[in-house]
Amino acid sequence: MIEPQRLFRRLRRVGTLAEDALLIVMLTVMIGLAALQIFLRNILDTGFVWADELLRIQVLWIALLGAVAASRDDNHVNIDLLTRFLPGRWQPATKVIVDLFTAVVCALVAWQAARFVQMEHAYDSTVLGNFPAWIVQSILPVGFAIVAYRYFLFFCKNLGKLLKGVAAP
Amino acid sequence: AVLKIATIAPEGSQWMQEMRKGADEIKTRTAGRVTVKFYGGGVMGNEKSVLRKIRIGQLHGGAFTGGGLIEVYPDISLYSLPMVFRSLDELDYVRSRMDKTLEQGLEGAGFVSFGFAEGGFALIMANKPVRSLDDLRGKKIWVPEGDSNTYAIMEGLGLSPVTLPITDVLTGLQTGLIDIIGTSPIGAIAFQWHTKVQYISTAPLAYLFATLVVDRKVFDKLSVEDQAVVREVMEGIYRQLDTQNRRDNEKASVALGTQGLEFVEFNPGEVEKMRSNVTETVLALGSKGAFSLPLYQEMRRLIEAYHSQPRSGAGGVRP
Amino acid sequence: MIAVGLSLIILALLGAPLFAVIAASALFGFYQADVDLSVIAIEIYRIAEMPVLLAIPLFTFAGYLLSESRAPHRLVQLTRALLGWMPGGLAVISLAACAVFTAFTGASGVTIIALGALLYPALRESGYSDDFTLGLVTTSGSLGLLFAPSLPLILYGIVAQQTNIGQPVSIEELFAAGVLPGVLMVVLLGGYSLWMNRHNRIPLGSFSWIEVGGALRASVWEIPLPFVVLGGIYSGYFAVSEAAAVTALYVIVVEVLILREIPLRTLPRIMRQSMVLVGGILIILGVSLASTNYLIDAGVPGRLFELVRTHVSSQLTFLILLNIFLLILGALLDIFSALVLVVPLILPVAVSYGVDPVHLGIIFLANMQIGYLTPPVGLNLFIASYRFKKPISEIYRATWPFLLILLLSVLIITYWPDLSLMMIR
Ligand code: NA
Ligand code: NA
Repeated sequence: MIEPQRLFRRLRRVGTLAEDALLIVMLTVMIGLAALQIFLRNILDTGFVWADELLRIQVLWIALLGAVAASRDDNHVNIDLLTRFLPGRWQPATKVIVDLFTAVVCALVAWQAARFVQMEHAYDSTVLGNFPAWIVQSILPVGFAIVAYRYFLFFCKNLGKLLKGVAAP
Repeated sequence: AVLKIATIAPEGSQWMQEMRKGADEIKTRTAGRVTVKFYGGGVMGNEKSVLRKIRIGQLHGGAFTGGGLIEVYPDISLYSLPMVFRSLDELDYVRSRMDKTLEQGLEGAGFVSFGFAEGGFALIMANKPVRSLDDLRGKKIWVPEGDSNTYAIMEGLGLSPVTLPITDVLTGLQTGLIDIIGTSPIGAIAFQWHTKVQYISTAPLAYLFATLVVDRKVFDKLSVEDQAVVREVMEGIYRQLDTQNRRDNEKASVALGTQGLEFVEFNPGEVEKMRSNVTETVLALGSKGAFSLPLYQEMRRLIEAYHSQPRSGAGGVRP
Repeated sequence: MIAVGLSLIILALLGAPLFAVIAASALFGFYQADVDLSVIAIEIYRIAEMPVLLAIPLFTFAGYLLSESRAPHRLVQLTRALLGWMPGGLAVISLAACAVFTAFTGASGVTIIALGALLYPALRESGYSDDFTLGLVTTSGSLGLLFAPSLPLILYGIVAQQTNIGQPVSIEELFAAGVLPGVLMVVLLGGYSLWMNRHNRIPLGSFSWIEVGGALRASVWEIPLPFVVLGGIYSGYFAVSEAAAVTALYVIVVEVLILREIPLRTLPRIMRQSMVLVGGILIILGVSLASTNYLIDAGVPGRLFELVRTHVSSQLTFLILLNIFLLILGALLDIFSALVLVVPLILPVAVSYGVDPVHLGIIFLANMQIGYLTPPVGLNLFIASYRFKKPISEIYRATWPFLLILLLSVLIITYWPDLSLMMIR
């Protein structure tokens, strides 16, 4: 019998490992496929009609997987001009606001993306010839949901810190 | 009501100017009840994106090429199947009898169409004269990416197709990544591809056209009188564009000639040889459900009917 | 409306991820316009419909690999041996290299992440100050839009060709017209680099062929790279869009298998790191597609332009207002949307004021290029801040002298038409 805390940690480790692995596999396949396409055309005078579309879909997956990986360490592009002029004791409060905002926005996008995927499923949209598009597109809601979840965790953590800071003095 | 319509036709092009004039006329004649807003230049994304945006109601319609609506109504691909038509006369005869069927088909699929506008026949353009199937062998032939039907047909002919995005075609021709393209004279000039080729084979490859459709759910909400006005104006514009584009293609052909491009004919019998091979692949595609076979047979019957009619009454004046 | 906009700006300045801020603004805009919000997913999905984006992950990865190897050091040795006598030698080479690279990749920030990764450590090692280096690399990210075969240049030609202005515009002419204005930018920036680094040089006497030979031998595997890529494209072995894959593969083979400067087991880490960066940038691009689409849906570019047109009386005022309008536009829209949306609007008007359509294309792209660098929303500023892990305020400070020089060159390009047109007459 494993206690829930440890199960949770283990799950998270497996999750991040899967994330990284998927990202690396995507990039490797992308380089390989593009090179294969050049080889086939120049040496064997043949090709693979879906190569271009597949490569572009991989770009989308890399975009989302990369964004998910970036959210792990809260490492997204930001401007952060005001915080350096704010008094230090305000920092945790602004952090809490920003984390909550990001989590809510990403959750909203994830929800809308889920509706989009559902619609594509309903209309039997296809990619790569006859492959169901919704499978490929699922990365949108899933990716944004994970980012939302991560920022929600940051929010909880920073809120905890903030409350402790208020209670301490 | 506002009808938001997207098109890849560039802002400022004649096509767009006509459309905007039409929008003004609709607005006046419906006393402002119907406003048509155009989003040109492909800013709303490619045809698939436009279709998605129509489904969620951000847009209410769009100008599509034949290929863009296949997902909605597969039979729309019939006119554009390769090597079906031998001449514009054949085509006019068939279109004057089949346009209505296809429009009704679209309507059944939930889209009101205001008619079809010709884009012309795609022709083979290359750096060496192409007069036979053998002249195509070993050459790198451009197929627009994702166009699996054309790809299958090229492979059926034993040729080597190269898929490339449209943006790469110009440099592709320049560098020899591709040797041969298929496009209409208007298209060649618009994308400046004609500066990179020297020969044009006159045999028609495939018929290109566009259609303007509006979501039926939205259209049905207009009053019957307003519907009639929109139909009348838009159908008028499309009829005019249809004939205008034929003249423009002729002019573009002449322009290509004066710019030093040379027109070549296929050797006798070559086209028919290719046609019978292509027809096999097309039939295979049809039996896999790419389009309705009965309607395809109907189209072929009409072509034969055109040739068996007395010579004096030839030519189809399209409605 | 204004309250929401203000809150979003404050949230951005408090350090909210930029993609979330842009996504929120798009969601709010569409909500106000009563458009189904799932449009945001449709727009982000367009990432999978743009062939040009393929270059971003591949070039970024190649750049990361190069920066982790000893290649930057070898580049420094080589330029020191060849151009050590010239102050700012490496800076000038960097400018030229970035310009050529951008001409092929079309300035989506990929120059900064790919080439900047190589040049930043090299410039620092050569004794350039941090501020100067940051400014130079950030600025170079959009340099070269005016050189063939840059995609925006081709796209301008295609759009102009199809606009009814009664005057032909050929892509060849645009390619020729872009050369001198592009060179002007490189020369002005190069001159500034020389001036700023006039004391950072090796005495003339120390030039030695032995040193040059040694540096050349050391870089024997990296030197062919540009020739493989350009040669491959011009001989038709691969497409422009495939050049990135060839580069990535070549760099893996050289740095991992031949030189073995990067152990195979570190490859996954480098892959992950570079793709985190790519994800951070592409996700911004995706939500920007949505916010751009909102602006288009609401007809904002058209209204902005009407505003400009109502205040025009002469060609001079027209050009001044055009510059201002285009700078704002460059800050708001991505370059491709700006091209297809705005060129058809301004082209007929510009022609009626006697502006040559080819010249207008050069003006347009030169302005757009600056749009990548204008605070607060220049994309290249964020990308540089992200890539080099520097606060955005530092990037602003480092970039503004370069920005001024580029503004100066845009003014010269705008008010001296012959600079663009002498090559085609
Ligand atoms: Na900008
Ligand atoms: Na921009």
